[in-house]
Amino acid sequence: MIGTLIFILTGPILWAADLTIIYGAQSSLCAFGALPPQIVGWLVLAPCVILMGLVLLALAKPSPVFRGLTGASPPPEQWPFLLSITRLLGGISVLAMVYFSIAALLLPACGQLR
Amino acid sequence: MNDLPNSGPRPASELEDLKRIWATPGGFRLLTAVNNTVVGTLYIGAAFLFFVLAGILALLMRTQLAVGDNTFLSQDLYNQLFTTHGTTMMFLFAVPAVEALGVMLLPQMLAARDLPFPRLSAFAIWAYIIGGLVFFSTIFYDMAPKGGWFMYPPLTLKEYSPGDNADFWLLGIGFIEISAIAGAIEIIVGVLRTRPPGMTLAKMPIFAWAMLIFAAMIVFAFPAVILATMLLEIERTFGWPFFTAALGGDALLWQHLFWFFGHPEVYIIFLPAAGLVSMMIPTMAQTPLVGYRLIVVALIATGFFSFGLWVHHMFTTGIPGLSLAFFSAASMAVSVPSGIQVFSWIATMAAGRQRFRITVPSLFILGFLFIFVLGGLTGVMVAVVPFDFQAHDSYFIVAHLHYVLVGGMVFPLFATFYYWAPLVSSRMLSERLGKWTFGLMFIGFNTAFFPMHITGLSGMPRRVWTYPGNLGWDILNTISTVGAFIMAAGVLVFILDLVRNFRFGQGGVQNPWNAGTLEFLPNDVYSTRSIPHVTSREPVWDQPGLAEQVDQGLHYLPNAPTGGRETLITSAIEAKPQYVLQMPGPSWSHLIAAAGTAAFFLLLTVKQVNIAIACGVLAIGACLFWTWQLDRPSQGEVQVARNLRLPTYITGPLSHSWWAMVVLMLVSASLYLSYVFAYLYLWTVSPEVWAPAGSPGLPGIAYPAISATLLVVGTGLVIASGKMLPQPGRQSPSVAALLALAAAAMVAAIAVEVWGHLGTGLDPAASSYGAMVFMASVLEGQIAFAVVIMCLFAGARAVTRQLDRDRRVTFDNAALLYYYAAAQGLFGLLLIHGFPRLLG
Amino acid sequence: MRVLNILAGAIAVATLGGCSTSQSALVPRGEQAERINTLFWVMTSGGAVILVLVCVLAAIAIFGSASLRRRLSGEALVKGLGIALPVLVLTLLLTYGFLVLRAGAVPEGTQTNMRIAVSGELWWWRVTYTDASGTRVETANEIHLPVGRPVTLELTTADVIHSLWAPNLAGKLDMIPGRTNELTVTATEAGVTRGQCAEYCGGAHAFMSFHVVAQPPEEFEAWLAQEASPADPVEDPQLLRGQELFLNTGCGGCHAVRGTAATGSIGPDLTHVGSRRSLAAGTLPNTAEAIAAFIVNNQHIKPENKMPEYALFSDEELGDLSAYLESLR
Repeated sequence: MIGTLIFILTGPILWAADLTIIYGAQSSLCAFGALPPQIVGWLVLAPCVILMGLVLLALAKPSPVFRGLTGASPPPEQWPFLLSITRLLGGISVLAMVYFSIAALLLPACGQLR
Repeated sequence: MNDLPNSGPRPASELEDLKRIWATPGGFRLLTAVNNTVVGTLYIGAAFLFFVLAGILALLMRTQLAVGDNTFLSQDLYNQLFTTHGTTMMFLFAVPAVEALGVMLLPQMLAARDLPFPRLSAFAIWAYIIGGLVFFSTIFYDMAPKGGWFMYPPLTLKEYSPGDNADFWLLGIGFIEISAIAGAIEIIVGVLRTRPPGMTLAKMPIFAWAMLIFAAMIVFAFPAVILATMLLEIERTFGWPFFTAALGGDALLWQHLFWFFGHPEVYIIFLPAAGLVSMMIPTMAQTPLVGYRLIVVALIATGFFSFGLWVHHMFTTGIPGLSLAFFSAASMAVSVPSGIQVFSWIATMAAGRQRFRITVPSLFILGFLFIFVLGGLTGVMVAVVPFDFQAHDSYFIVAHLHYVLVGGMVFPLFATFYYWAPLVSSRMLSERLGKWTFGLMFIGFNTAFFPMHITGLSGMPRRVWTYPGNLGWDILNTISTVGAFIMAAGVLVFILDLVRNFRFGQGGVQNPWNAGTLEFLPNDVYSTRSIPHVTSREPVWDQPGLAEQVDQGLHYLPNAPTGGRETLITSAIEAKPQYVLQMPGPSWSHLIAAAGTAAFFLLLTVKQVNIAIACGVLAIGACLFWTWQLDRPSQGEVQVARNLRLPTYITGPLSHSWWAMVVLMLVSASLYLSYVFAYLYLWTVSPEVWAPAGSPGLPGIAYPAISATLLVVGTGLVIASGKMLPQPGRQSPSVAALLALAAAAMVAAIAVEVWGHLGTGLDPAASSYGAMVFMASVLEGQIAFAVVIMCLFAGARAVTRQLDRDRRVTFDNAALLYYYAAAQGLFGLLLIHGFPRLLG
Repeated sequence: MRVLNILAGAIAVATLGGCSTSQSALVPRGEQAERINTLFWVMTSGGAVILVLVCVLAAIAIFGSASLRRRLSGEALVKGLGIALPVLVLTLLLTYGFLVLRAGAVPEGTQTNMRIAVSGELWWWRVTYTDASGTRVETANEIHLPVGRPVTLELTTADVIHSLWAPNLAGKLDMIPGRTNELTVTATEAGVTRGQCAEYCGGAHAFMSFHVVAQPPEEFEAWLAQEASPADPVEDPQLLRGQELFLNTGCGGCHAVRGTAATGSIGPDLTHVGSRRSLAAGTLPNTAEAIAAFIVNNQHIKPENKMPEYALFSDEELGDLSAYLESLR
């Protein structure tokens, strides 16, 4: 049950991880002024790209992911339903991460922009 | 007929048994009822009452704002009115109303006899009604909060808001949130475990999906605001400076926590309503929903992504532009699922062989579609950061949020009233009056709120009790006021309709709309006579003769084999029958517990600490009395179908109560995670007050070591007592003693931790660091309080021969919470003693 | 919908034409407000098209012929108009929004901007300029700007959260305890507009307004020089009596009039109060009568404000006092 749930939510969970990492890193690094803004910008972009890759990988090879998460083979009756939901959610998650990347590419990392 | 689960004809005594067992108590004992149709109707009635009351406040405000420089209301009263209006609509109307629909409709849709924890839902409902009424009444004696429904500190700190007004918000609403969480636990377990056999996840009605996601969102969102209210109330009462900048706190911490709850809250309100729309449109079009999978995806995606939007309420706080951009991006992404739903609905309307029927529910749905799409579009606009710089906190937002919430939730709710009234009323509501209601509400709503878009961009900020008459805002405001009264007239017509046509009880028209889902099967107090085997998403359409078969008792559980209230528990994904759940019936105990809990919080508000504690003790006593009657012994295996015998008692991960405990642990964990966020956040804002440099250093490593050892030893004691549970019918004082010892170890662990920090001279009122350190123990103490009671309770049952190797759910629950509390405690020690050492 | 757009524009114009000062985002007088105004009209037009599209499709789904309805009835509609179209539109809009946001970045050489400190206080605005010689010049409830020059407003608060919003000039920015937020504005044409606190700050939140006076740079410099100077010595006997009352009844405990013994800093600096466009943060017009009314009756005019009501004066004394204050230009 829990494994199936995580499988369905692969995309959104990785998206949430992405947001946590980039928002946490960017806002605290900017608050402390620890690194030059350009580097902060790249530090934001990197997790987006990596996590997007992970989602796409999981969507391309769903069966091993399912087996890894649940320890069982995909149930044949439920599989088409589970798979299509997982793929769609993954797609929306990738879209959201693309949007994060656009932000990182277009905007300076720490300015208030006001 | 041979492939049906049971064969007929069934003996007449079965039906009599069901009627007797499930009978609604009469007279004043009606208050003790727990059945979902009764308490669900009460729940929705109370929510509607708050809608009307808060609506009246809105009319008062609109009257004041009708023209510039008006003095109809005073400044202070207006500030109380808008705070109470927002608070009531969000916390006492919107969330309870959708939760009420879940309580009322879900068991019917799932053909379950009742929700799995009937007294818990009744408790939550009564606590909400009593607490809500007292909270609302503060407006009558000048005690209502006036810090806005968002209660931003420092305005709501003691310094700027003396008096008890703000405390009514913090304690009153805080405790109503707890009741919402109780309902959410009920709904999660209900949807996952009380579905009829054969109703796999892929065959579940969309409303059940929506409610599942709704409840899951409550589990993760509400704890954040509960933590926030705790912090603010503690700062108000004891001066621990979580939000005071001068002492290392930060006003924005409140905003982060509040909106981490507040944004999902909007979708918590909207998703169930969207689920209802997805149920009604197929019926009116007489065709299955187009894009069921897509809608499920849309609901899940909305629920999930809504947790990544909260900062879009903080676009003007001066956070770096790139941070804002992340949340702008997420806000854009979350509107894709809404697009999916809107076009699925349109496709479904087009898909019917006959034309889409125009009934009162359809009208409200069409009205919803227009209003919600417009509100969604303005939502996309305000998600664009620079535009929000202008729109934020102006009347543009007032327009937007009412378009989304009234369009997204109130219109579907009225559709629901007309559509599902036959389930609880023996008469249907009037189509003619319904059309008037719709017309007045639709025209009134748009007249009131459309002009506000322009008012806002013309520069009028929100939450002003008056405005100068020479800025060109007068005409727009006058139009809005007229619209508000037209809309109110619509609600009035609806009330008239209720008075004339609503008659509580069964026996009305069967399936008046020819719907395809289970709630329109023949119903009585026991829900359906037998629990159907489901093979499609619209079983009533696709399984001919289902209604008759169910009513003749030819499906599962056509009787009451244990002689009490019961329902069928099935597996979470595939809905395979697992066991028969024995459920409690009417009782005074949960009612007294609810009244006691409400009294405890409200009396604390007005600083009547002694009476409050007495009420709290009464509430706990009532809870213990109530739970003492639960965990009934097994009745062996019973026959629920021709070829199916099921157990009547089950333990471990299959048990519904294990699931409820797991959800409760998730609630506690998200509360604690919010705390961890707050700790780290305040450190990034004010590293200068953190130990070791800015505050007294940490106590020696021995203190956390002893504390951790105590937690580990306590856990070991609980595990050991689990292995020593006696044979059935035997007493076990040693189990009771071990559990008591374990409880003592947990209390001691917290005491050592607090003692250590007091020893270093750390003062919780001196800096946000000190406040945060002691707050960890406050949160741990709160869980420990429950753990102690549960351990002693389980011990008492061990002594009275009600806890043994087989009948052990009471113990299992106590143990689960103990393990959780110990884990949280260990994590807390790691954070409190590890993090500053890491900093050096 | 297009009609509504035009209607909105017409109302905006009427707003400007119907009264002396404007407080509207639809009448931009600053660079940021202009960018946002364009963004607004682009989004509103696009949104209107989408709304009409949804309404037309819903109408066809209900009332259309069987063949038309069949075309709408598949998942293709959902995937095309419910997924593909929104993704396209949202991506474009998001990028546009980011570009507008980036345009707000403070350009290089920002240190040379003129800086004005604005502090939100319950329920008025303390505005402090630093002139060329480094002298701090304090005034209240009015922000003067040189047209065409970027000016950085340093926003702080003395108590609760406020939000400075001059919609003709730029979007709002909050004033948060413990933080200094910086808003850079550039007025595009001379004129007086109005602004208001946008974050609910309790009590008299509705009466926390201010004026923005955009002036040609020379005029601004002249104004600032005048503002920096102490109050002119008083000679007229009535004004002298007024001044005496002001100094002897404790007004100076809270208010300063530079050049006199009144040096209080709790309330607004009154050195040149007579030259301002309003009283009590936009609550009253600036006349001697209004000053008199406010001294006597301020808790009725602006409830909960921090100034006590002074009922001890005779009518004549009140006249002298208000005439004195009015004369401080």
